[in-house]
Amino acid sequence: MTDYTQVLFKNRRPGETASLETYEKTGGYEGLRIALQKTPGEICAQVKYSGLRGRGGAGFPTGVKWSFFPADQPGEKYLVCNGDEMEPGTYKDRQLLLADPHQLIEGMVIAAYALQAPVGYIFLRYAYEDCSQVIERAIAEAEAAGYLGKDILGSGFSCELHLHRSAGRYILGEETALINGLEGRRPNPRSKPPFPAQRGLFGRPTNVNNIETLANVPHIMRNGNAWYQQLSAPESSPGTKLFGLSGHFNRTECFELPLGVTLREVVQEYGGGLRNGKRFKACLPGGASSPYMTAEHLDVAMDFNALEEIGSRLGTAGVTAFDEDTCMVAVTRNINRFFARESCGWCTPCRDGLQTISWLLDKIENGQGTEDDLTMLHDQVRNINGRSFCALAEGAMGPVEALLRLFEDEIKEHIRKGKCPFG
Amino acid sequence: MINLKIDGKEVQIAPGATILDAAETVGIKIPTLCYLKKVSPTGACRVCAVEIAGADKTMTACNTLAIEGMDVTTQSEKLTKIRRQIVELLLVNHPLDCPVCDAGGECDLQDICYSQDVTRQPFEADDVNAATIDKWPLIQQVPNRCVMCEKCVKVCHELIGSSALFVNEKGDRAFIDKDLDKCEFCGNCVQVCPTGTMISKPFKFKARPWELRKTPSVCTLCPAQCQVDMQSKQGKIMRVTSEDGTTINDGNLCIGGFFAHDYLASDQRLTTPLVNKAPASWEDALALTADELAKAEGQAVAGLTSPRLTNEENYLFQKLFRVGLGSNNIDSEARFGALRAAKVLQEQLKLAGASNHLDRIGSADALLVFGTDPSSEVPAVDWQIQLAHRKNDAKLVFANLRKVKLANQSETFLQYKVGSEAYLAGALAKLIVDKGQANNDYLQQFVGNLDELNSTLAGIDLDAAIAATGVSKELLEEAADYLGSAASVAIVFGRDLTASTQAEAGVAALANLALVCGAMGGDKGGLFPIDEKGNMQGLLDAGTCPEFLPGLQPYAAATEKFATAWHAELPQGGLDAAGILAGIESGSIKALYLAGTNPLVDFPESARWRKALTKVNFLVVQDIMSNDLTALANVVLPGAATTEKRGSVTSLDNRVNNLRIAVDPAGEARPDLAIIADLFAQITGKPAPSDTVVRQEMFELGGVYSDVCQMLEQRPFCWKDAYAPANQSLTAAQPELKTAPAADLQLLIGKSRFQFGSSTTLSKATAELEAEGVIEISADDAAKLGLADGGRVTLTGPAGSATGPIKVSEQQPAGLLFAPYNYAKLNIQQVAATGSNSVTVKAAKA
Ligand SMILES: Cc1cc2nc3c(=O)[nH]c(=O)nc-3n(C[C@H](O)[C@H](O)[C@H](O)COP(=O)(O)O)c2cc1C
Ligand code: SF4
Ligand code: SF4
Ligand code: SF4
Ligand code: SF4
Ligand code: FES
Repeated sequence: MTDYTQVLFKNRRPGETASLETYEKTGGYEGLRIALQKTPGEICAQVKYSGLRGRGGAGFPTGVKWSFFPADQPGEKYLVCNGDEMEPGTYKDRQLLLADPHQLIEGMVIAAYALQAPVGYIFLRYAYEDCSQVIERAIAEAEAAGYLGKDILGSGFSCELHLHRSAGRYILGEETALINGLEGRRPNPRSKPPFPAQRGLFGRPTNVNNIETLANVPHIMRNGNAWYQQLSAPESSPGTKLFGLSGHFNRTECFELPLGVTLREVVQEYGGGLRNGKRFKACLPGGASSPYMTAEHLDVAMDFNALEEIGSRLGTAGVTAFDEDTCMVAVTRNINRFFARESCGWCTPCRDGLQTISWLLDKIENGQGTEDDLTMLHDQVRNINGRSFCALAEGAMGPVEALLRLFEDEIKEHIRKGKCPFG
Repeated sequence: MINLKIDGKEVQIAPGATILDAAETVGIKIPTLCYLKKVSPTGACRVCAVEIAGADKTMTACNTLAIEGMDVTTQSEKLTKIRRQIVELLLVNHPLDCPVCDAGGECDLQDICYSQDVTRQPFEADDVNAATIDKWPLIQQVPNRCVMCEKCVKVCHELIGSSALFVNEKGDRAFIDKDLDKCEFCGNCVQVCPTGTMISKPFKFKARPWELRKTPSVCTLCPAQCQVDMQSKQGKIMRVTSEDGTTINDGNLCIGGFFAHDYLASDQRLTTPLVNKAPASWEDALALTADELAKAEGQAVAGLTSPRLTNEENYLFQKLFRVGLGSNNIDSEARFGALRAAKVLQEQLKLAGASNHLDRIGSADALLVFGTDPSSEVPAVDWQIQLAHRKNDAKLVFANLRKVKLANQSETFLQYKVGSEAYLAGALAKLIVDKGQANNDYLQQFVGNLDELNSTLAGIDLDAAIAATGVSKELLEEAADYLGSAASVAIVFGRDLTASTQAEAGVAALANLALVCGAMGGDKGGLFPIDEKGNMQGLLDAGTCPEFLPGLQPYAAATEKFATAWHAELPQGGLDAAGILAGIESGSIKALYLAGTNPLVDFPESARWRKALTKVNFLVVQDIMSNDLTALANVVLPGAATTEKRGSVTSLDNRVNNLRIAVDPAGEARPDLAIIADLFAQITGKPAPSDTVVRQEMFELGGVYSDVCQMLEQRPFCWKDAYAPANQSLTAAQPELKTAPAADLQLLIGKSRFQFGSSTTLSKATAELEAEGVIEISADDAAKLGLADGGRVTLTGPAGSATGPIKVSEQQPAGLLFAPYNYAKLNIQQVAATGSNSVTVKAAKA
């Protein structure tokens, strides 16, 4: 294992959460002091040129998103931190919070200042009881120390943060559904436009960012863009990234690695290879909605652009590995069931389409599939992709589409043999 | 304007329009399923997919905005396939039980399968097979047939404002569920449902849509007079619907229009004339009636008529009395409310009815709803308030004795005390003027006595107002600010005020407030007096009271004009309802003609009326239902219902509507105009006037009905002359401000939100919701009495006592009870005093 620079996990100690004191000792809240000397516009510009990209799954450039935000518009504006983290195989935000939560608080205050949106909500996954305590404590500490609340560090800027525990549905991670949820409504996604930056929470301009995204901001403020960009090799994907490993790895832990490490390094060095000396067959590189990578892709760099080039997505960088004995039809069926169940039920392609995919995959996995079913599966994926109201259904098609593209032989074997070849 | 291309056609459209809107303007039809023009776009079904040059994904036309330079394709092989596949998916879990589905023949899913050539359903999925929801009254929900278009949910939230429906569960288990407590049973969810999911239980299995004959007409249950299509089969009305985009109600109906119509088929309908309780021929019944009325002519004969009759009927009724019987003893229940308001508005503002059309409530920037629960009195007014509030972000100030629906939606809720209405309106006007927010341009132009207005307002003691109303200074200021700062204001007031002891003073104070806000000055907003009875405005216009001739023309001043036109000498004096009651008691009134009105239920002091009516020498009752009243009558004349006859009615906003005949009168019942005309002929010896003759005369002499109305024959409706007062012609009044004496327990009498008058209590549909009049009471007061829901209480007031079941309600403040007057059984009007709908009562466990 290489000794990569640790930024977000710098203060990570087993079983411990960094206190405010520890955080301050390692440069904590210096980024905020620096930011408060600048104008909001300057901060937005710096974040834009840093090249930071969203860590919530889509990898959208954070500074660009901020530059769309009407910071000058009078009236209420909101900052929302997306901590829903319901993507299967993803647990990096939780690790970050449990290790060093003040990064998020500091990042949010800086973002709130940069966007002139002095009220922030942290929308946290239902099951994260431990994180909620950690956040509440961090908020209290930051308030007591003058990093949060009225007239922060004598700058005249005030900011309040609220913690909201989710009711626990995958769709709540979608930012417009999340906003509905925060408002106490049913979490259906909203139609865009208007985008949240125009009409979001309570009809006011709202910016939504992932926990990890926001946690990067203080470090960028403190150390500058040049430092940030040298953390990783690919120009398109600067900075480090938390990779949460799961599945058949020997080591299922979360690591902070530079963007652009190869899949091979992740699998062999960090995952420690696969259990029982089995061979690597495939993985989901970034959560259950990212298309599979296979052994063929072991030398691909794990960054936003490189993965797109091979038809996959870095997503949340929650890497789930499958060994050579795994039936990919069965894996895909299970994943699809999750998405079908978590569909909000609003639009036809998602509500009914994912169910028919489940039916087809069931049939094939159970050995009752036919060539016609395979054709229909192709057809359905095309029919659902790009036709749904929100990105859930499209995400759900990621693994199914990859199954058809990468494991067609395996599907055909199911059909030919009339049973699952993996027994 | 935005320029785009659709299927090669150049299209110009205003910014903010969707591709679907743009396509519509050039006659290009894009298939839709979840799209409903009157609500916000949903974008859920994905059937309206179109291709846009340069975009890799297809877009949904219903919720994608048209953009400059867009090049849209709506028909292609690719799109046909997409649309077909979407519909195939919709059928995955659909039972396709069309033969027994209520929507069969008028189902959008059937239609879209047909139009998109969906002839197969290749997919399968887990069979959800959700159970039918049958536990709700009146409406059944069959989730298996649902396409999740959410039209029902949106109508319920965005147009009706009751927010009862919601989507429960997720994925393919998602279904439409309901918070029953919030449901108003308006049936709009049933109307908009494109499939057989939301079903009207009363209509279920009654008829296939193609068997029904549609007669366009208007609902006459309340004065909004919504457009309706009476749908009948074999001479019976099976259901009532309304069409989007035709009139102000835009296809929406309330429980009255949608569900209550079955009262017309009640077995209590009168089907034959009765003389001394025995069936008689029309000839005999009419001859006897004409004879007896004529015998008693002059001071000894009196008549009471009704807001349920048409304009022509009421017009001829007063003419029969004035010309045929030489009597000016005519009145109606307008006396207890609407007429009191009308007199003040006529005097001060030269206003007869509302100053503007109903939809101008919907476009106002601020709303004051005062002493009325429109959701119950005139639901269509509530919908306009919802529009203004939701769509235009209008500020809603809601002044009411009770915390009813709109109180919870309002920006400012002014919960005042009984009897403090004039103080409340006065204080608001004062605050607006004090803050310099009065509409001075309007005041300068129209008000003749500005000084008096200023001194009146200056004379109002704010602290006294706060004490009298029980409303805090902060709330008063907030409300005044909303009303004072808005560009346009709509003021709506109703029966809580107009039937109270404060009617005259309160309406005068509101008129002052309306002047101060310039409410009547613009195209948006206005002043809207409302009263729940269907043709109340037409009744007022007909001059059916001693002090007015038709067109609300003061009796003395217009006597000569009418005497000339009628070639008759007009009687002087005349008794109002109270005078008639006293006259019967003293024996001076010997014959009484009741047309479509029932003092035993509808009038205050109903018990006293009952006693009197048993005494009157000759009582003729013309009605549609047999009841306690007809049992007292010497002659009963069965009339036709508004669905069974021609005629015109006038809505609260001065729209004159034509009724159409949907079904034949019950049995031998006759249109009321024919009955009155026959009596007129027999009594005067002149020929019986036809309805066109009556209408012509009414329009000419009435004055308020414009020339346009003569074209009513060719039109479904037309407007009365618009309100256009002359400069300096309006006057501010100095209403008397009183503080109501303190009382431990007061009773407010009003309208049940499920019933319209007493007739709909015969509807089986509304009976499912409130079969017997229920007395609403606060938890505190119920506890004091040691009563729970359903427990019975006896209330004793100035005129008598009544007993009924209670229901604990969060709407009631402690110390105030509410009881509906609609129910003959509860007969709460026997507790009330004349001229006061809120009385001090003693309550005791029964
Ligand atoms: C179905 C669905 C689920 C999502 N779940 C999450 C989530 O759990 N956490 C998250 O940060 N973003 C999630 N996203 C992405 C958010 O919509 C949004 O893009 C993100 O919060 C933006 O933050 P970022 O730009 O900082 O990544 C989800 C998106 C979709 C379509
Ligand atoms: S794709 Fe459609 S049904 Fe699925 S979650 Fe999004 S809006 Fe809901
Ligand atoms: S009947 Fe009316 S109030 Fe009730 S659920 Fe349907 S639309 Fe909503
Ligand atoms: S019940 Fe009817 S209107 Fe409501 S969502 Fe289902 S199909 Fe649409
Ligand atoms: S009662 Fe009034 S609101 Fe209801 S449908 Fe009839 S006219 Fe419309
Ligand atoms: S009509 Fe456009 S999505 Fe349903």
